[in-house]
Amino acid sequence: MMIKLKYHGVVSEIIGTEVEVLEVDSNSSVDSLCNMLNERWSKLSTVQYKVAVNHSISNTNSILEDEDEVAILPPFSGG
Amino acid sequence: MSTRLTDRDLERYSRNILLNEVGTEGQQKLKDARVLVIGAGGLGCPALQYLVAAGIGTIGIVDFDIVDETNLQRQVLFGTSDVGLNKAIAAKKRLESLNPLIEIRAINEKLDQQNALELFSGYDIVLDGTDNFSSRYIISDAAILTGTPVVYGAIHRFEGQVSVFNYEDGPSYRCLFPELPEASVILNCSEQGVLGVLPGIIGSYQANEVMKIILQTGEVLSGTMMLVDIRSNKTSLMAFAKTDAVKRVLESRESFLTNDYDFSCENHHVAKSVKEITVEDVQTLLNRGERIQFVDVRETTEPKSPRELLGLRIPSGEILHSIATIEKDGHVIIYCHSGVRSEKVVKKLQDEYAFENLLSLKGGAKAWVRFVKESENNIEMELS
Repeated sequence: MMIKLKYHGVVSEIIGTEVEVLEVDSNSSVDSLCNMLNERWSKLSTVQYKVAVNHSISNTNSILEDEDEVAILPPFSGG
Repeated sequence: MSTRLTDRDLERYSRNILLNEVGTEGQQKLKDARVLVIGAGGLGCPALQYLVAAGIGTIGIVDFDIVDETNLQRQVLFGTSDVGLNKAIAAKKRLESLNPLIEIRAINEKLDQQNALELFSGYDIVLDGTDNFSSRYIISDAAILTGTPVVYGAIHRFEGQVSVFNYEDGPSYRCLFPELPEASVILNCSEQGVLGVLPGIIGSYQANEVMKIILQTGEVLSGTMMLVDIRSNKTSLMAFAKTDAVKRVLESRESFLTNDYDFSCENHHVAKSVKEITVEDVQTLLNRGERIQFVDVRETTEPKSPRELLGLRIPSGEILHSIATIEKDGHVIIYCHSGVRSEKVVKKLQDEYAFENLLSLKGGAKAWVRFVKESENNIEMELS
């Protein structure tokens, strides 16, 4: 199934893009998505980020569905 | 201390009062309110302007920093003649001329665990306009311990975040980001560019949340993080729930004063095991014709001066990927802008990758450039 990813802040800098459509296994959890991303970009594992699925911050064990909109949100520090 | 609205107040704030949602009752609430703004910077300046103009009765401004010329493209309360002055004091002076009818207190202090609880207990709402994680976590925890709502704003390049924490038993900052992001400190250490209008927008949103909390009108961004991207003009709202992070802060109340919040770039304390080399000693080595590998750990986007050392550029966050290019023997000098990141990199490579020959350039590229310029001036003076 396909999910739509939106990367924010320093995460989009690490990944080098802001949006991406990604194919993931059906019944993938938020946790497995994070593991996959952290494996693809090792620098990502040093960033504390939250995952919002369809505009709601999710638990790591939430299950993703086809066409979910997933936002990766790190904290911002600037002011 | 509650004083009634004066005739002058009714006149001055008539455009507030004309709104049914405000009225004289709402204006009285604004007059009675006490708001503490932490950081009179990119976010604090625009927020303060509107809060002061709206007639909030008591406003405290906490900032220990001084106005720098590079602040002026976004910190709109300050002018060229304020450069070198304390921000809290300069902001108070400017704001008093904008509105002499309210009380403005300048607090020329650095917010820390020692002063936070006492400061917060004198105010109804805290506005977080700081620029570092250390202060944000101190604010978050002190707000939980004193039961004070926090209007949060933060920016990164073209994006901003706004939320309200700890409001009517709602979630807090730690419900989103439970721990201080120590591991990523290297990533957050460099100075980032920003268009002044972004903190202008985000700080204005923060002022708006303060107004709604006081007036008890509209939807407060509690349990909701607003994201703003000024490039696409897209805003989105992300809902989040309260976690036991709040309970944990309340339960460890006693440890608040002794917790380690101090990991920011300015306040680092790397163990003394890191060897530093001064710019003078670098020159001595160069004069002797010794072979030195220089490694520049600044981000590729950071500017370089033409007088700089020619180092291999490996941004600190990517150092582990390029570890094989760093020599394990001979002189290897790691440097960054000011010597803070390089010290962290040396520490990490020593501790985790058994390097024994690394030196961190004391004062960084900044010190080197200054040194080179001074030497050039001396030569010119000798020649003339």
